[in-house]
Amino acid sequence: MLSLFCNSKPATSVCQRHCAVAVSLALAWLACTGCQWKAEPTAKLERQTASQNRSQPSEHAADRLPRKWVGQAETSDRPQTDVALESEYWSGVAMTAFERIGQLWVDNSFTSLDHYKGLVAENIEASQFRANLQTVLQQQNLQIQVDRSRHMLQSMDRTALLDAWQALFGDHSATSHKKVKFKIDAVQHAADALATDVRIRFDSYAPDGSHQQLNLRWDCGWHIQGNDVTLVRIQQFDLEVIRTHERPVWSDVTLSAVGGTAAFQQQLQYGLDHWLDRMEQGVEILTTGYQGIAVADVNNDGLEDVFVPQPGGVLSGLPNRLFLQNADGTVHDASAEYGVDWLNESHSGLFVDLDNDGDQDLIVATSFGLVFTENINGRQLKARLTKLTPEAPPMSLAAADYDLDGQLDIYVCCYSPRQSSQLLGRPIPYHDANNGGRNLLLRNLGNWSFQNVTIRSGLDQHNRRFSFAAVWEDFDNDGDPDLYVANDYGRNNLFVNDGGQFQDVAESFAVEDISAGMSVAVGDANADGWFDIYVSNMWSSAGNRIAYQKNFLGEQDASLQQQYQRHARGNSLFLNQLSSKQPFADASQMARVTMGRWAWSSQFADINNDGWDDLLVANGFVTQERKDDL
Amino acid sequence: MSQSPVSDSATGNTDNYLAGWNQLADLIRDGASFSGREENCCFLNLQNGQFADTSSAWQWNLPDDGRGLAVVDWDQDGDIDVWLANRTGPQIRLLRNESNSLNSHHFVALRLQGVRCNRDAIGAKVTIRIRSSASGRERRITKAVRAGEGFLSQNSKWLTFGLGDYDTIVSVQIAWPGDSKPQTIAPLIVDQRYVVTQDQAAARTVAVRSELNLVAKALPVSMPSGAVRTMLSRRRSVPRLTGQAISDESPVILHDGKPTQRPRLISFWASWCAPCLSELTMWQANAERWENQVEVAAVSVDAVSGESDNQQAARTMAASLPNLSCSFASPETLAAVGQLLEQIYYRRQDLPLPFSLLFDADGQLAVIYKGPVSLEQLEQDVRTVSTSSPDAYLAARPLPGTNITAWFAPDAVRLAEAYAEAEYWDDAIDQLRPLLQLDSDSQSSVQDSDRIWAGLQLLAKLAAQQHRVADHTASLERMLQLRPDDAAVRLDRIELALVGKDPSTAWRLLRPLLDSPFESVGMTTDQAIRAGQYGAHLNRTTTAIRLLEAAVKKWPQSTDARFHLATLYQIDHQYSAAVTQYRLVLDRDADRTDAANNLAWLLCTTNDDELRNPPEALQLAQAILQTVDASPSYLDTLAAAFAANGQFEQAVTTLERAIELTGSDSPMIEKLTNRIDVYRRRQPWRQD
Repeated sequence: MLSLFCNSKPATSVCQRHCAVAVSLALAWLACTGCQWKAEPTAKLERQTASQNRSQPSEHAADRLPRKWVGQAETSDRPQTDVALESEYWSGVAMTAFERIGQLWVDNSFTSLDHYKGLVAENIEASQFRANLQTVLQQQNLQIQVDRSRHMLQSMDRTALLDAWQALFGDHSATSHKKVKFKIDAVQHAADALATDVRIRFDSYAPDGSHQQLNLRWDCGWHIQGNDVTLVRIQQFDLEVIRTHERPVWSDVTLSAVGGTAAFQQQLQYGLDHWLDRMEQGVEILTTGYQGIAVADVNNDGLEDVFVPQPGGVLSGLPNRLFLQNADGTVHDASAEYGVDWLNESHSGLFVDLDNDGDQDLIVATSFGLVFTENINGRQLKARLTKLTPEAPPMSLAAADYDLDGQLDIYVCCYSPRQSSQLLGRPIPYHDANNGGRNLLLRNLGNWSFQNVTIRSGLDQHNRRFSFAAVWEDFDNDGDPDLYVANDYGRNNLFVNDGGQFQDVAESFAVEDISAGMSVAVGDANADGWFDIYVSNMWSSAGNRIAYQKNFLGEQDASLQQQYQRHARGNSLFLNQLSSKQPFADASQMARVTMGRWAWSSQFADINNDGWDDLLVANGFVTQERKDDL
Repeated sequence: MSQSPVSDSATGNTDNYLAGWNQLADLIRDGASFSGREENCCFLNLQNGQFADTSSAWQWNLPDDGRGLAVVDWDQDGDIDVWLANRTGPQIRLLRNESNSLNSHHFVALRLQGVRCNRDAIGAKVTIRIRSSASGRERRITKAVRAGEGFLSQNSKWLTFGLGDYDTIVSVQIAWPGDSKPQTIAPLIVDQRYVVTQDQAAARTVAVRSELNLVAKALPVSMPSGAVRTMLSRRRSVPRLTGQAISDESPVILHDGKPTQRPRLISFWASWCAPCLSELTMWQANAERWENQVEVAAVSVDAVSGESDNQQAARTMAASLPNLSCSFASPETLAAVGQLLEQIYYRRQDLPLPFSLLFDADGQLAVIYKGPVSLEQLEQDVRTVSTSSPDAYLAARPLPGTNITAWFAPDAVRLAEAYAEAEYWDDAIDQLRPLLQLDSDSQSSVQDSDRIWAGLQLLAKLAAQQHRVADHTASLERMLQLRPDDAAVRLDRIELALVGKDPSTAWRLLRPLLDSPFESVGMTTDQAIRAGQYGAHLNRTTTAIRLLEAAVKKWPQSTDARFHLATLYQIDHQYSAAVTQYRLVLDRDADRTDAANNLAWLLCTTNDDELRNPPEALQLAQAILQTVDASPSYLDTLAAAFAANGQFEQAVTTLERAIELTGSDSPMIEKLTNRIDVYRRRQPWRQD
């Protein structure tokens, strides 16, 4: 039966039942898939909105303990569940303590010893926090200092600790607005002791626009008494201090640029859930929201324009949008005028000059397949050709002239085969799936004719993975473009091009990156002139906590456990060394670029114009009104 | 490391594993977040092999469920701005990079234009060498043009080089795709934008934009809210809905799917719900205006909601809604509505109040309102549902746009064609195999009989190409069932039977073609010829000759039909008739070397003294070899003609040439060797 609510009188009864069910099912799912559970006990505290009724550890325990394992997966996918749950329980307990300590930092409360009673032991072992702080980057509007060292532990009393914390957290500006977030990514539990690795981000926003961001990594020891924990040890092993002046680098000009269009007001200002509430399931709007964005100068006026693919289905949907840039940087909607206001589910667009006539033609990946449009004098995108993708809806597109005949060819990533196109796909086996949709290479034969040459070119090798994205680049510097493909639920491909014939060398080049690959970007991270690879994956603190438990998979398979651990590690950076011995080096952790959360697009971009490629990551999976997170 | 076998899914028991996925999807449907409220990350390069997370310091940390990310110098101020695509609202954001106004770093931006390579110069690699005049230091930066990068995203094709404090560009080298050596272009100046064309020595400066009006303004994440109106894209039959009568709480039918005089609105309300009451009061006040347009039934959920009771609802109705048809909802009513909503909407939600369903006069559900609905909207919707427009979905679109489903028409045949283009033969054939089933009604994507036919034709073609005899046979059989009069299919099937050494099937199928009056079968010339040939294969020469005689009569101009008739006469030892027909063929088309060759052979090898004409045979055979390349068959004829004329040396030499041209494993070799022995014995060759 449904519960009812009315704007004037909300009812809550049914929701509680849902929530209880949700928790147990999420746990069951964890049992099936290992590390993918992302029940992040993330605390977010703000001075103005500090939560007054924080949950007590005992409540966490009730929520987190398993009721019954609903599903039992094939043997290799079933972790030793009790151990996993134990880590989750104690992670929740420690998180509650961190939240309370963090609130005291936010409140600038460093002198009232009593507030810390029960949270921090009277005598504590702690390392120094800023002893070796060194400036590594100094630019006009920016200073970055780091202390990556693991200092010696010293005994100190609570007063000394609070002095140190005041120096660390309270020094930026007394009047600043502060925020703190914790993420626990490792837990070890013994009889009366608990150890947690925690990532802390502490932000301080001063009224003058300056900002200090602290990124800390601590190994914390706790004493356990009953269900309560007391902090007895802090060993810091990483600190980044970022200070900016005046104002932040990024400013949100969305409203100014596009807010005046009806398309934004009626359509794009709302998220997918808004539309899911209004449109029938039959129109196939997927809640996962696989829609991207593409830029190019469509009307040859020297200003870049933007194409926004939109969700939809067979009967109805939201129209794709093409926004042309006005002289002042704002845009106007030209979707209908240019003929691309299609209602059918569209995932991505790719602007390339397919007929080499000097304007930007557009290819759109719709749920049926590709539509090739021809740019007619910059005034219209006229559909010239459709290309059905027989097996799976196309996702990301990437163009290159792989056979160097002067005409651009298209690689099409296909994720989940249509027969199993339920939400999220159904990868088998989870960690190394081989039942995804086959990708396509479409060779441009000229005159708006494209031929599927996947098999002929050698690209059907390892072609049953869940591919989200790919990028072309001449990684081996032999003059023709090679292809890196990012696959969810397992390994990636690196196809080396040799005269139009491809060979997957991902394994021998050590860039398989077994993980949940979402996308791939190319840049020169170390400015050595060779192109490096950055892969978006899922960083999961719960996954890290669980997959590193000693008995996660029992005794059965150490390499399988490593694969699960790898799945939770996050994004990967592979440095191109252009040597035959070790073509790529995995620099992900050393470079500190793994923690991109549940990452989708990443791009290299030199955002401060200092001649060094930085990294931008867009992330987060499904945010709904309910705050509880799976 | 070994690859996971594809067959895992077939061997392992994955039911519970898959059930886990379904449960997860279910939780999301129920409104749970899943790694939600995560903030975008920005890693700054520390120039020492490490990066630092500057996400919140630079206010990059938006919690939007980010998906797409395209980098572009949108405002053309020399630093990289970003367009984001998100799952939550707003679905897009433009983030402007202010760093150029915050530091004094230089830049240079290039747009490449290919001439010999692809015009977009995708794959081109640019290396610039820069120098700092203050320190004298030099360094290089390399970038390349790419199209499609990141998740469902595409960056600008402009290459924007941040230069830091380096204020001089020493050199620019461009490796164009396909070129073995890079091109060096004339020096560039920092803080400028250039277009570089392949093979042109100098880059063209692009003018700086003069106008810009982009203002920063916070734009928070938007969560769904507000009243919902869903016009269904197709009308739906809905199971019976019952409520309870106000008088005695006995069952009353709210909706039973039967046609009604007017469209019917069922509105759910509660006495404690203020928006409900104001909506009902509004309808009550306009009851007369409505009378001829729509029936309104108000259903109270007071009791089932547990918030109030039926007495309270009855009092409200008596006091305020005397003109409306009123009843109570039962738990069953709500359960049925709940099931309905679950079918229609992806997200499961508690039922909002007021909540209304509008049925058309045929008793089919047309519109759903979650929350209040205005009089004007209702009036408009009643009008829409009262007209039976074939384009109901047009009214259902939330926003205007173009439906392009028809561009793909993705049925099994098109899918198979796409697979076949890629040489996935098994998959192509798998797509088409269901078309073999007799009950074509149950077939999924292909309903139209012409499409089924096209699919079967494709299946037959692919099966033939791939030597899948079973599929080939089945497809032809199915086509014969559907169209028994289709001669082409029948002939293909006969051919397949002949190849498969199944003469009885071949004859069973061929016989109707030969027996029926020629005109009624509707064969083409070629088909008649094929039928004749197959008849000859089956040793039904007389029947085959009869058929081809009819064909020659029908198409007297066709040299093909006549030629094959002549061949059949020849096989049937009717040499005189054969000679006549060959001559008629050559009269009409002197270039038919096949006829000339057969005639020549006949004239020089026949035992019939009246017919035999060695000089003419020699003339014919020599003429053939003057117009076409020598082949063993033509040389064999020429040799026979020489021999018939007593020129045995030439006959032997000619046949030696024929043997030379023939593959040693050819069955012809034996025949030719036999004949050369005859010629060496200075005898002519005689047929029979």
